[in-house]
Amino acid sequence: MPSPPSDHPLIRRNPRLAEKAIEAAIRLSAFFVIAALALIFIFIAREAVPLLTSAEVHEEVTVSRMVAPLPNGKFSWQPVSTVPKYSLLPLLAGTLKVTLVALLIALPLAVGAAIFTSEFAPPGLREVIKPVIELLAGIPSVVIGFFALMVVATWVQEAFGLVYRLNAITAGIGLSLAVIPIVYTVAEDALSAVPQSFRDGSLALGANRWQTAWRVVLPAAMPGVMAAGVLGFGRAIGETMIVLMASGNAAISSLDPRESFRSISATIAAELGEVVHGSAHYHVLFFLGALLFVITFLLNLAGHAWAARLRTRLEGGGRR
Amino acid sequence: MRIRTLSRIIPLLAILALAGCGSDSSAPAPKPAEGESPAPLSGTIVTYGRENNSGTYAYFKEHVLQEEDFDARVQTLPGTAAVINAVSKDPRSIGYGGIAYAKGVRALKVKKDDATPGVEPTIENVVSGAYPISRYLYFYAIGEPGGELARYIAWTVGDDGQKVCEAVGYYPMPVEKRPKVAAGSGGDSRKTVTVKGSDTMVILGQRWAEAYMEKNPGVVIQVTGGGSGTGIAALIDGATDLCQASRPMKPKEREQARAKRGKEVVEIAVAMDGLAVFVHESNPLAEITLARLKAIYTGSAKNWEDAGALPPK
Repeated sequence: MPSPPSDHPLIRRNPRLAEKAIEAAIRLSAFFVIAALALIFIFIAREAVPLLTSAEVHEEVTVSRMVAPLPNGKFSWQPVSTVPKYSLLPLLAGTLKVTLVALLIALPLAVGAAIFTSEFAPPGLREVIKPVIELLAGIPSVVIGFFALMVVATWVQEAFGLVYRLNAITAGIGLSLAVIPIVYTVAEDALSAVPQSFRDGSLALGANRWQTAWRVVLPAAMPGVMAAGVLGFGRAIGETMIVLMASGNAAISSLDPRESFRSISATIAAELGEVVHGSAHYHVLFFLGALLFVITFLLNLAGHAWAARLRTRLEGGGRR
Repeated sequence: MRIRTLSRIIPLLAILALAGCGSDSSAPAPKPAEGESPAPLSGTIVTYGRENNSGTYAYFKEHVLQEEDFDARVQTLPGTAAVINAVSKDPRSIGYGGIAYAKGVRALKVKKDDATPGVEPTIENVVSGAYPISRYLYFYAIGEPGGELARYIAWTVGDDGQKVCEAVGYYPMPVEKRPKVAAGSGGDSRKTVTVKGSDTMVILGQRWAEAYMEKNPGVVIQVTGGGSGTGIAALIDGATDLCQASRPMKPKEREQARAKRGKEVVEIAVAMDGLAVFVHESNPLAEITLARLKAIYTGSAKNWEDAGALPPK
């Protein structure tokens, strides 16, 4: 990083020079962030590639064996065993299961809260609600995980009469606590950014406030709201500590939310610390990390493309 | 017009969420609270175990499952304390872990087979070897330890250290089996020793460190957990001076240490531990055979009816 570019005499004497220096610094920080992202991906990919290329690793595991059923027709994740088994299916099913539960809870709540604060809440109340919900984002996920493990698990088990205390509902509720503030903040910003003239026009035409919010403001803010949903998905699929603590980590190939599961992120967290450096298991864990990265990346891309299409349709005045 | 259809996605999602919850609440899952009824337990066995980086996992797999795989339904938790906490809240669950932790749950008597009597996991039974699932707890170092490290190890296996061990609830080494460690005066003059490894041993290690530092002002012993596997990996990588492990080091790991550090690994047995099998306090089961335990954890016995047929206590 360059030395801080602005000190007062310089700015006064030659404002354009100072401006340029600041611009350079900002540009550098943008590149720095992108470079960090690229380097992380290169690092993960480099450790994952031996799974595809190394003959030594192939003696123990190949990608096709991770996808196909085991000789006994089942899928199991047993990396520490006389015959290690690395089926992807139970981990994928678990990750998908908890992400869906978390989003089903978080999206309606977060978007609903965003509509309320931006459209209905009196200004004084909005000044309270927004920072308080955003404060939720500041709670460390290990604390949320602990809360889910000790408190939510008991509630859920009693409410639904479940056999397993730790399951996808419990973990999904915990996870939604981490997702809600992110979705809420971005969605609220998008709704607030809708020009006041839209609301005025709608109200002048005789629509009530609810019709205005639901039929005019929300559709206009849809690209931003969807971006919020995509961010929430990324947070949910990658979150580690909450699922590690509240999921029970049993690698079952089941989409039943009442049962335990083992997510990809929790598997990496639980096993990477122990694994022998350079072993097949080690490379498999990095492969899982790369997989998680690619899934999130593709979904982000799809979300952005969708939002962009929506935006052009909204801004183009519509074909009809 | 298109926009309007899009705006319907959100209420649809909300309805789906509600519908999802509804079907869950009406599911015919049996009530978990069995409470006061003394009748043998019925229903699904909820099994808890340890993460696969723990020495406890490796030990249980080797000695109880005879290297067969755990059932996929076994829920793995980080740390014996977490297993005990889970078992204490779940009337139909079973778990295993170090004996020193057993509070709020009931430890079953364990018997080798139907013919032998059940043995309680007490200090005498573990030290005498009558309890079928007991093990040594180890220290590992790279090369013959010297300096402060050697003095610390010698102290832990001496009378004072073993007394601390007993006070914390772990089992001391039988006197005749205590290793002789020379507290040599050589080695470097470093006053800091880092210790890492088994979660089962972390409390023991911390108490030892506290007591030792009290007697030797100026010395700093840092003890952290993470699992036996984690500690061994750290030892091999040179990230810790001493590794605590609740399982013996594998030949492969010794080989790696030799290749990477150029010295032999030194093993010192410092304490004993039994693996206790825990159930909820309301569970009428009094004892269990190793074969039944294996059946439960490999998934061939799924219900308490299958595992039971044992006299209530």
